[in-house]
Amino acid sequence: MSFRSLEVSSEKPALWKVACSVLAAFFGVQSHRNYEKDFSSGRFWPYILMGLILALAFVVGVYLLVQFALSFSHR
Amino acid sequence: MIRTILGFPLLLLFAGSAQAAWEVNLPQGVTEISREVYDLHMIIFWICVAIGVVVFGAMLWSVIYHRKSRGAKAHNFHENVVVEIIWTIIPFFILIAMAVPATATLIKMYDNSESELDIQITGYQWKWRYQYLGEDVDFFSSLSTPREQINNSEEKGEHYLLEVDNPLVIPAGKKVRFLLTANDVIHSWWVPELAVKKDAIPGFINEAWVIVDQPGTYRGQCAELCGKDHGFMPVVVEVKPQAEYDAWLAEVKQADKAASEAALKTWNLADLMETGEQVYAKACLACHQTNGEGIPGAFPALKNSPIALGEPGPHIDIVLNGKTGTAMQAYRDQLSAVELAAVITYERNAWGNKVGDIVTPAQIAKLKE
Repeated sequence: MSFRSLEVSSEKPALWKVACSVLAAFFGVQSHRNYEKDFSSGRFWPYILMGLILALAFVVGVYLLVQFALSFSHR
Repeated sequence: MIRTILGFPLLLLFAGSAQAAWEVNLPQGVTEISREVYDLHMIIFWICVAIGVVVFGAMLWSVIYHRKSRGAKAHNFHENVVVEIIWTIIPFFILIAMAVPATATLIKMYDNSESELDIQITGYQWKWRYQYLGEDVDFFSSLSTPREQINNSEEKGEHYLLEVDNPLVIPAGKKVRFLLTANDVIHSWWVPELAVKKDAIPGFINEAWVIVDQPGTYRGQCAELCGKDHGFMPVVVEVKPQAEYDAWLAEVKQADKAASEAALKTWNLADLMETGEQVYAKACLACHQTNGEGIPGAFPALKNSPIALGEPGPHIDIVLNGKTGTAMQAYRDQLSAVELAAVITYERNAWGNKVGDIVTPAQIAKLKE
């Protein structure tokens, strides 16, 4: 299916839907239906921004996890 | 017949469990950390075995019971989100489960604090130097396997290529910290039984530590390809009970004192030649060879060399300070004054070199100050 046949709408996608789509991309599994829906929204920047924010959150999360693990060492 | 063919490799497998030479698994070692590493290795090994059985079992079962000749028809579908999520989440949790105990062991392994003895280990081409920090004990440890065994003209000994003249001696039950570095190229200090394998890198200091409860002798090797005699610089660690360790330390200090006193006594040519030959075998022979002819194109000959036949000054200089840009090392710190004087005298009077002069230990001792 080519992009042209998708119905492109200029409606703003819901924030939590963008987050779900980006998380699905992080996880590596996405259903074809959601994928098509995302590409029909016609918006690009919400996904990039959400991707950057969540990537940053992931880095901070790993850092905190390491600090948590190190807190068990007796020093 | 078939039974014999099948039985033979099986026999070999079982022979493996009986003989140490057939040991293929990681050694359990003699420290708490080494045992933890071994346990981790075994847990992860069995997890891998279980995954292998499930995955290949499912695959083989499908291949056998759903083969085409049984009339199986391929089911065509594009995606199945639930299944995809399951096969992503299961390995994720397996990995996290493996990371928890591994992290705990790593944290312990890297806790270099509160050591009771610090030893600086420096890799040289091709020997190890051990400096007991704060103890004024400093010595080199080089291969003691005779060249005759290496050249196959003698039967090889029990610890062939895993024996040294001066082993590293540490007290049992104490936390000993090793500070590893190198003088020339990258080496790696490896003793499997202690679960320590750390690179010794020029200009860097790496840390490792051990607490060995059981006294004994543990052997290892250099584990980073470091040049011609990489396979000829073993590591031997002797773990002694505290009392024996203290006695050893006192003995080494006494011997150091005796050596510096020996430099002051008068030496004759015959004594120097005799000592010189031993020192030559330990420090020079690897490159300059038994006959003093070196290896043309790689290591220069000492026999008939202008330096060995000329004035003693330049000869002493090259042995003490080495030659920049070549494999010739500075032996100033590696050998005692007596050893240096003896080996220089030997080089000037062996293999038909007949200068006849004596370089005295007192002369070298003055230069070393």
